[in-house]
Amino acid sequence: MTPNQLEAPEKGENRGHEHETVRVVVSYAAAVRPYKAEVVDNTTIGQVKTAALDAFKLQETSTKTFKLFHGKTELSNLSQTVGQVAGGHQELALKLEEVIIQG
Amino acid sequence: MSDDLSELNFRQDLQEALQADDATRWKIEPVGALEIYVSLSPASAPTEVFQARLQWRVYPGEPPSLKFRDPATGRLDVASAWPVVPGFRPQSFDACVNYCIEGFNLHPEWRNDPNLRWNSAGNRVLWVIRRLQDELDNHYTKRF
Repeated sequence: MTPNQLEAPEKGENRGHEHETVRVVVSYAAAVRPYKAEVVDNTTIGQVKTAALDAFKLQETSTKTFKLFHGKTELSNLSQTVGQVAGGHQELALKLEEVIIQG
Repeated sequence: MSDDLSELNFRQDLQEALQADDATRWKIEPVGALEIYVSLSPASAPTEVFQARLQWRVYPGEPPSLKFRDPATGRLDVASAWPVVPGFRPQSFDACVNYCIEGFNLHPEWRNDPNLRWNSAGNRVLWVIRRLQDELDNHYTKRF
């Protein structure tokens, strides 16, 4: 998955029914600027996460993971769609986080 | 102790950090080759200003030392300079969190935990400052 694949469909493209687009903004604390993409609302959170990791040049391994948050809610279901999380809003702000512990 | 590469990386990341949109919330003062003072306030208490002293030995390969400084005296051993946040230990003048060297000294096992060990990727100056801001915005209760 590349960020390009998350672009909105061309006007008039037949996808069975109309999809709204959602502007997704993913912040990562170690990056000066957030990752931004305009995506169709049936894009999954997993696809957004993959594109954001790619944009931030981050790699998940079997022992190193990153989590997406919407506010304080962790988006653990990567099959959930952007539209479901955005809940009708046209912009969705997410945070990509590393594991933090307070001993 | 620092080395040229650490200083070069640090200067570059610090300059970038100052360009971030949220940098307007902080007053960042470079005070040494790998050392800064960062003044920041909790969202819930904007008049409370805490001054963090971040000092790296190696950048970005190691976590920084994190202390809170009393701006009036310059002392790093003033408990009331610390915010009350989970993991912070004002009476010991240190923090038990996995983004400062004091936390890793308290928990050496974190160094070998792939999930908790220090991650040197990206802009680590910005990451630590944002981490502190997040602590103050979401976990701050009062000044010690």
